[in-house]
Amino acid sequence: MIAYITIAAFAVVGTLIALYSWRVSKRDDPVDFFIASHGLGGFTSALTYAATTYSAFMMIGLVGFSYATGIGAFGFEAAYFVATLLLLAIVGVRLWKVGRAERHVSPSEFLLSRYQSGLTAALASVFMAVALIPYASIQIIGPAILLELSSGGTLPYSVAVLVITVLVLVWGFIGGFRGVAWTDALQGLFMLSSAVIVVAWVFSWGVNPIGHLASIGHSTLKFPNWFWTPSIFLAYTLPWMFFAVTNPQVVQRLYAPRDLKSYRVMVIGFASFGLLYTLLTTVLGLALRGYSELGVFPDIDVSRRANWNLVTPTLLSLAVIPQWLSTLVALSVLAAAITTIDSIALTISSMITRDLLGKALSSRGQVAAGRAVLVGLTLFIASFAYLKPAFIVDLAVKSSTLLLPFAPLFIGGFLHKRPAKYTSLLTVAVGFLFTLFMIVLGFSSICGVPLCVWALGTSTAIYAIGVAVESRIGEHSANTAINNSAGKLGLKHH
Amino acid sequence: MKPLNAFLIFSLAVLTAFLVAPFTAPWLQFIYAYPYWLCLAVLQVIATWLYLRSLEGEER
Repeated sequence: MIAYITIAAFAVVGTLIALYSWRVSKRDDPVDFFIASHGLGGFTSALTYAATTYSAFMMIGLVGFSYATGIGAFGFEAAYFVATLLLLAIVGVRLWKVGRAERHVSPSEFLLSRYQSGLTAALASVFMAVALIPYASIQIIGPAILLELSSGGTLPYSVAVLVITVLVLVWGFIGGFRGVAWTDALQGLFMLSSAVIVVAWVFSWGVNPIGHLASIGHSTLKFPNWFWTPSIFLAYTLPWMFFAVTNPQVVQRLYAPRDLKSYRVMVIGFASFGLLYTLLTTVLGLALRGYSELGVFPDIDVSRRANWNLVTPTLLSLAVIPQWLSTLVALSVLAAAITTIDSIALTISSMITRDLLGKALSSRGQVAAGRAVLVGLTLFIASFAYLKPAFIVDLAVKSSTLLLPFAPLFIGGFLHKRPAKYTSLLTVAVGFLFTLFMIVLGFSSICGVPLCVWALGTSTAIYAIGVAVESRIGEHSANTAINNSAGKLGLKHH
Repeated sequence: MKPLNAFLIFSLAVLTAFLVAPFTAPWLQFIYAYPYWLCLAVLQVIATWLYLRSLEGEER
């Protein structure tokens, strides 16, 4: 009963926020619906960026990952964190400037503007949607299972899927980007505070669990160890290190801050949130491992990979955990999932509406089409989550690898002046299709080198060679044109 | 040195230290890698803050 009441209260508060954002929005303005007119403050931008980035994986996957493999789980998340700050400061700020100046709405609009290729932008939109729909579906599956477990079965999986779907749909449909950002901000604070509470509760059990791991020289506190080898560390960190410039839902958030100060607050706010949340979730995993070694927490068999995700559900189903706390944590996972799904759904909706259906639609038509696509897309994502086809999990896990070929396009866009139209098209098409093909064939590495290295290496090589060739051709054409003009004017060209 | 160059060099050094040192430095085994990574991450936050502040100064 307490689960139903808490979820109802959560839904009402979120819906009121979405309704308020609808009241203050500019009706029938697609720039306002999809990106809040580039006018968000730093605090809201920071929380929506952080809540979109940090998904249900953190409280379920990372806790279990830390429990099973040790401090390397923090290392790979922190490597992502450092690389993201570098990208946000160097590339992100330029994307923000260009996006504001040219009134970009979807990430593909940057590609269109920089590379002058409508086909590249359209293909990028389709490929990004293909990569992200499974990832969004799995965001529903994890929390729905957790809600079912933490409620003792009173909230069945199908009802949990329905609840998540309805909330994503209603908040995105009513509030657009501003509504999603505001509900993200509230949910982000909720995610962080519930993580603080659960970690404090776990450490109040009386013994220092991490001290115990240190005293027995446990492998979880060592790096490298049985799991973390240089190759594995690279395979995990590389796809995530480029997350900030390959995942459209976070790229779109770079357009949101209203000025440079808001952008700085967004980056530093995200950094503070991210570092604290990563610390809390990894420390929670290590603490529970320490308690398992002490015999206080059930010993989870980590030799089976599928068991890693059972650490948080096991914690929430303990007889000693207060029901309010288990509901709070389950709800924070739900919030983490909703913030990620609604951001993905709205971003894909903006790409389909603006880049595929075209700007030929009137402003009003774009908003209406955006809402219609949002509904269709959310139902599509939810139906995958409900049916749980096996390939969904494989594709979801590999989504960040699948998106890696976009990294050279977003980073390289600022490194040369001439628009490399054909190069951009070739990089997107070959890079993405090659990676997808390898994933479908079941390759996680080729010749001992992780697939992510191949995905990034192939697309970067195509991009670098293509830009060099197109620049040469461009210079040659320009010189020929100058010579022809000079010849017509009777001038000699030295 | 321009703020961009300084930030770029510092960040790449942090990233290299992040990825390479734990596999090559045996002394990390004694203090464990966790606090080492945490310190590097905090340094990167401070460097990013300073660099973005310098951009604001340039804009003014």
